[in-house]
Amino acid sequence: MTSPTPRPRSRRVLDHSLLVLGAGALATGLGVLTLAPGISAASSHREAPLIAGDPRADNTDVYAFTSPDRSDTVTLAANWIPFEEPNGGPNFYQFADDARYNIKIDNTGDGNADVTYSWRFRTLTRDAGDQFLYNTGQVTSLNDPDLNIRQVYDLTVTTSRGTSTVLRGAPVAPSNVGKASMPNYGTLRNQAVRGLARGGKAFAGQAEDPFFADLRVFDLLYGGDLSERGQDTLAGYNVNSVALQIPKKDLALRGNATRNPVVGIWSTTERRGVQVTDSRTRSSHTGWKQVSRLGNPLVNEVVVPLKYKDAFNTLNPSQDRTVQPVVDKVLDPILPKLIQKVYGVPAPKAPRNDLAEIYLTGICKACGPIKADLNAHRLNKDASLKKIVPAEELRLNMAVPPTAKPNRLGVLAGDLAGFPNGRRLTDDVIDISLQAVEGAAQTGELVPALAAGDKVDANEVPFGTRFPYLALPHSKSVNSGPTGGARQSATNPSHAAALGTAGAALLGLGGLRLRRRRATS
Amino acid sequence: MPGPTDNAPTPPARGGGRLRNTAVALTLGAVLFTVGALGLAPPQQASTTRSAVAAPRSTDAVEARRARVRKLPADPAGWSSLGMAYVQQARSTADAATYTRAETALRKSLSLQPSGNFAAETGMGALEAARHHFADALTWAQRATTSNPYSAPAQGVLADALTQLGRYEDSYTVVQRMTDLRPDSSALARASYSWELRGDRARARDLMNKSFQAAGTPAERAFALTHLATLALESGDPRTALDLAGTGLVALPGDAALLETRARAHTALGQRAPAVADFTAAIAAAPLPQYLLGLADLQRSLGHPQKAEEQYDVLRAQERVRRATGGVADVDGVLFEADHGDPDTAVTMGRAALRQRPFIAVHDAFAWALHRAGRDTEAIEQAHLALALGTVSAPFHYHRALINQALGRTEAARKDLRRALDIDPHFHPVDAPRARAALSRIESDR
Repeated sequence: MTSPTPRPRSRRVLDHSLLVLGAGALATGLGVLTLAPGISAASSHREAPLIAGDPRADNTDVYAFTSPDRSDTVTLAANWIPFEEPNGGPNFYQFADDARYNIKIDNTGDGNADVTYSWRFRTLTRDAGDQFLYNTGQVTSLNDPDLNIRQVYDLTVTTSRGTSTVLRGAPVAPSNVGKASMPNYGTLRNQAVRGLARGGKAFAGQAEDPFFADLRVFDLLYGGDLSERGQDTLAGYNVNSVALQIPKKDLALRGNATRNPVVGIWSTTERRGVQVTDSRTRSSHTGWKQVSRLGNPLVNEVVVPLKYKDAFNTLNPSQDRTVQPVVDKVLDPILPKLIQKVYGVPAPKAPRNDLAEIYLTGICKACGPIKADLNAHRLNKDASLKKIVPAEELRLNMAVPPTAKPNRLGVLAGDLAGFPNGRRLTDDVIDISLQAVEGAAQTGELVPALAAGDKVDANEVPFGTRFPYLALPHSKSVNSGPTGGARQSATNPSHAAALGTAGAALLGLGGLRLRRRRATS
Repeated sequence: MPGPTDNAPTPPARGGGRLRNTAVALTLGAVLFTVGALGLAPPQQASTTRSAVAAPRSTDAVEARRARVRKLPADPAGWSSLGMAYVQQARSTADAATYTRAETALRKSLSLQPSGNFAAETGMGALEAARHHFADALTWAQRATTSNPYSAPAQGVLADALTQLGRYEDSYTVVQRMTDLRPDSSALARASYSWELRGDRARARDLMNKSFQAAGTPAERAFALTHLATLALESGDPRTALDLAGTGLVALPGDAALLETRARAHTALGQRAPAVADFTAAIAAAPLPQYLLGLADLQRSLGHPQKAEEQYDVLRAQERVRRATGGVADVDGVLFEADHGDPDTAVTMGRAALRQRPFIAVHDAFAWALHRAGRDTEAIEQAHLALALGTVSAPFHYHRALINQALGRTEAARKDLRRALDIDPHFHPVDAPRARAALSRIESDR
C-alpha cells in the first residue's frame, strides 16, 4: 500500500485507517477536469514510482514467549504482508524471493545479534499446461502435483561460531485458497511444521493475522472520535509468518538459560543493494541492506516519531542510543501529551525512565523506576555490565514460567509471562501500550480513563495449543466474514492499495512469464 | 507458451469495480469534453473494451485518502499522503487540475506541520518535477532530504530533479544513496535508469528486472514492465517487447504507458491495426503529445496523412493552450514544431526548454530544431551533448546523422546512421526507412 514513507507499523495504522474509512468515498472528486497546461509538459520525462509499497519486506509483528506446552523452549514468530485478503479465488501471497528475512537474538545486551535465524525463500512452479494457476486441482498435500506454485525455504542460523544451515528446501504452507481447492488445510499446515536436528521446530507460511486491535485509536491524535472504538480492524485478514520453537539453551548467553535467562529479540528484512556509481567501494553497496526492523509492538506509534522511522528501520539496536532525538522521544513522548490535551488524562512527568526501561533496557530494579527485576540483560549473571547499552528490543526472561490462564494485560495485570516480558499471541498490546505510556508500569495502577483501551480484547479466532500456535488462515473473503456490513466498506480501497489480491496474484504470474521468457530466449 | 495477446483476459475487477467504472466514465468523458471544447474531432475511439478499463488505479487510493482527511482534517500525514496520491494520479492521466488538487493537499499538510514535514516536502518535489519545474523540485527535495536524511523517496525526488537538470554525476550519487537506504522497486528502477543513461543496457535490464521482482504495487509492476519492454524494443527486439507489455497490461489494464509501448512494438512488427488500436487507447487514457505523435507518425507511414493531421490538430491545440498559459514547451512540442510548424519558433521553444531542463533529450530536440532552421553548426553541438553520456539511442544518432550530413560530414553521418539502425532497425516508422535510404545512398556513393 502506498504511503508517504516506508514505515511498517505506522503504515499499517495509517493505511488501515484509510481502509476502514475509505468506505463512503465516491468518485465525485473527478468532477470537472479541464484541459490545462499540464499536458504539454507531462511527456518525455520519466519518473519511476516514488512511494514504494513493499508489504513483503515490512515487518508487522514479532512474538516471543515460552512455549506453553514445552516450557524448555521459546517460540519466536514474525509476520509480514498485512491485510492479506482471503478470497478463495485467485489470491495468493508469497514471501519475496529477493529478500532475506531474519529473527535476531541479543543475549549479551550490547544491541548486536548473537544468534540470527535467516530465511531465504524460493518460488517453484510446476506450470503444468502453462496455466500460471496457483493450483490446478484439489491440493491434499504439500507435494501435491496440483499445487502449481510453491515456495520452499532455506533456514540458517548464524552465531559467533559461523553460519550453518538448519533446514534446506523446507516447504512453505500455501495460501489458503478455499475449501474447494484445499479441503483439509490443517493437514497442509501440519506438513509445513518441520523438526530441527538440534531440537525444536520451524514453520513458514500463511496464517491468520494474530494481531487484534482497533487501530483507529491512534486517530485520536488527529481529532478522531474514540467513541468508535471496538472493531478489530484486522479481523478476517491473513499474514505470512515464520515461526520457530527453539530450546532455550540455544538462545541463552553461554548456553545457560538458568544463569542467563534474558534475551532481546527483533526481526528484520533485508534487500540486496546494487551498484550505481562507479565508486571503488563496491562491496559496501552490493551487500544486504536492512529495510525494516521490528521488536516491540507499536514502537512507531508510541515512541519513535514519524520523522525518525526511516532511520529506525535501517539501524541496528546497538545504534539506537546514538540517535538522540529518538532517545529523547522515549524519555518525553508526544502521545501522553496529546491524550492529556484531548482527554484530560494528565501526562506523567518527563523524563520517562519507565518507558526507557520497557523499550530500551528491560525492566530491573537497578535499571530505573519500575520496582521489579523482570527482563533486563543486567539480570543475566554472566552479562558484562559495561557492554550493555540501551537498545530497542523485545526482551524476554525465559525463566518466567508460562501462565496457565494468560491475562491479556500481561505484566500490568501481574501476569509476568506476557508483554512487555516477551509477547504472547493473546497479549493486548494496544491496551498495554496505552496504559504504559500513561505511566501504569511505574505506578503499578491502571489508568481508569483508558481502561477500555481500544475495546478489542481478543483475537477474532482462538489460537492453537501447539506449535506454531497461530490460527489457520481464513479462507473466506473479509466481505463475507462474520462482522458483515462494517467490513464490506473496508475492503475496496485495499485493492487499489496493492495489498489487493488480483495484484498479488498477478505478481506471481508476471514473474513467471518473465522468467520463462528468459529461460527460453 | 502462448504469449500474452491483445485479447489477454483481464482479471476481474474485484470489489472496486463500480467505483472504477465511474472513474472511467468521468475520465473518458473529461478527455472527450476537453478535446471537444477546442472544437476538434475527438480522437478515434477504436477499442472501447480496452479503454473501458483505462481508469487510473490511483483513483481508489486517492478516494481512501480523501475520506481520511475528511475524517481527520488535522492529520498532516493524511494530507501529504493524499497530495502524493494526486501527484501519482496526475502522472498517469496528465490532468492539470489534479496537480492543483495535489498542491492544495500538500500545502494543507505543510500548514499543519510547517517544519520537518518531509512527506509533504517530498510530495511538493514530486509535484514540481511533474510540472517540469525542476529547479523548484530540487529545492523541495533538498528540504525533504534535510528533514529526513533516511527517507528513500526523498532521495528519489532529489535524484529525479538532478537528472533532469543535467547534473548526472550528482544524480548517480543520490540514487546510490537511495538504493543503499532501501533497494526497493522504486530505487532499483532509478538505478536501472542511471545505467541506461550511460548506455549500459545490460545493467539497466538486470536492474529493471530486479525492480520488477521487488515491485509491491500494480503501478510499480507496470512501470518496470514498461521499461523492460522499452529496453527490448529499443534494442531491436519488438517481439519480447510485445510480450512484456502484454504481461503488464494483464496486471494493469488500460495503463497508457504500457499501451504506448505495445503500440510501438506492434508498429515495429508491422502489425498495423493493433498498433493503431493501442495508440488510440493510450490517447484515450492520457492525451500525451508523445502518444499523439506516435500515432501520427504511424498513420503517415501507413499512407494516411489525413489521419495524421487529426493528431496534429490536437497537438496544435495543446500548443495553443501552452502558449496562452505561458508554459514552457517540452521535447515533443519542440520536435513537432520543428517538423510540422515553424523551425525558427521551434528553436525559440527549444532554447526555453533547455533553460528549464538541460537534459539530454532536450539537447536532442533543440539540435533537431536548429537543424530544421538550417543552423547546423549550432545543431551539431547540441547533438553531441545529447549523446555525451553514451546513451544508446537510435533517434539521437539519427538526428545527429542528418545534421552531420547537412554539414557535409559524410563519414560521421554514415557512422551515426549505421549506429542508429544497429541499435534498433525499427526505431521509427518514418525515420527508420529514411535512415536506411540515406545510409545506402552514402554507401553506394563511396
